[in-house]
Amino acid sequence: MIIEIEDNDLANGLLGLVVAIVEIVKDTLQLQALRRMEAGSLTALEIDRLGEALMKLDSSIERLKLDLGVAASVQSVRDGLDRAIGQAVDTMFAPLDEDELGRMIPRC
Amino acid sequence: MLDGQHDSRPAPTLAPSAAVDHDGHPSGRYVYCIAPGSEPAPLEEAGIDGAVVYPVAWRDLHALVHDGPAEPYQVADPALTAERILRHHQIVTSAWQRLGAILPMRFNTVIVEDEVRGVLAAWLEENYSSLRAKQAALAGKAEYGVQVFWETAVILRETFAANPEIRQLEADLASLPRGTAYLRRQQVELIAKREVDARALRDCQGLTDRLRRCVDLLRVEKPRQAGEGQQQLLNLACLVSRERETDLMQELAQIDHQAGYAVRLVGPMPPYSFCSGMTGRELPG
Repeated sequence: MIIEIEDNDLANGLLGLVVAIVEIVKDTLQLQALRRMEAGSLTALEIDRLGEALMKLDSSIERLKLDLGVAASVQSVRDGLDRAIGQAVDTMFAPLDEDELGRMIPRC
Repeated sequence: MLDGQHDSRPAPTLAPSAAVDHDGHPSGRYVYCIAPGSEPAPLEEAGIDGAVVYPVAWRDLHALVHDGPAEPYQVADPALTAERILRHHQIVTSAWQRLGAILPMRFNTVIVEDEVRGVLAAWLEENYSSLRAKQAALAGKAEYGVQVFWETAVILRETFAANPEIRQLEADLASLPRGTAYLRRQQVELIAKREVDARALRDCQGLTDRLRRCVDLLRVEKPRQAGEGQQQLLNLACLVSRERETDLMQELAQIDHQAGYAVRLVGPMPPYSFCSGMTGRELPG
């Protein structure tokens, strides 16, 4: 799996990778919160506190991306992960056929 | 001369051409296409990298080839690769326009020749019947690439307007505490995404069914990246006989006129997507 880090600057690239991971964890927490909210397992107060916390986290991540100048790098990491997952799914559910296995004809 | 008819002429024997290079390494034949005709007129166009393109004939078929290394072209240089692909396509298209029902090979189809017995010649002999059958199936037909796009903003607007749950959630947002409103907004986006995904599935199926009625064969390709504000819904390779081209164009025009939809059409071109690899496998359908 190749994750392309857009910027040649290694420090910037690493920062982008770290922030991308933080963003993905935030998205996962958010999804979990939404599922619990839809399932009715949270009180009104819990929903509001969770929402406030996630909103602040979201805002902090956006500010961090802006301050560090890694917005493009983060997007590049996430696009790369999406592509890698897409390829993995394609491979699992649509294996290569003979046409795609290469163009060389073996000797008779 | 078609299959089943007696051919009184002796089958031509083909000596391998340039079976080894100057260093004694096996050489290759780059194959552009298989075309009808046993004595084709010489091709005046140069092939990839200026190579001499010549026919290798077997009965009433011939392969258009050039001599080269016994390996595919390297594709590390995008500009050079694009130039070679274009040249390949130009040779194939020229043959298609001159000779009719050809079986185009994809870029980088190379045969490693044998110094004792021609591999290409042997392959043409072994697969002669299926190649003739494929040619007959493709005669009078062209390939069209059809891509259908969504204008994302239009589709989202329609989705929001059509879903009462989303409308209610949006209406309630203003009266909710800040944290709750944030989560509700995320919920609205999630519901909208689910609705849009479901609509995409329905649209893909519906459009494919409509287009299937206008074409001879249809092949679903992977969606590719769209421009800003667009999402590619469908990427199809269509095999269309001349008599049905008007039907296809009319159907595509109707789709293109629908609000939020855009159609991109490429073709007519040789039927690359409807020729299987050099294994003698029959065409589907």
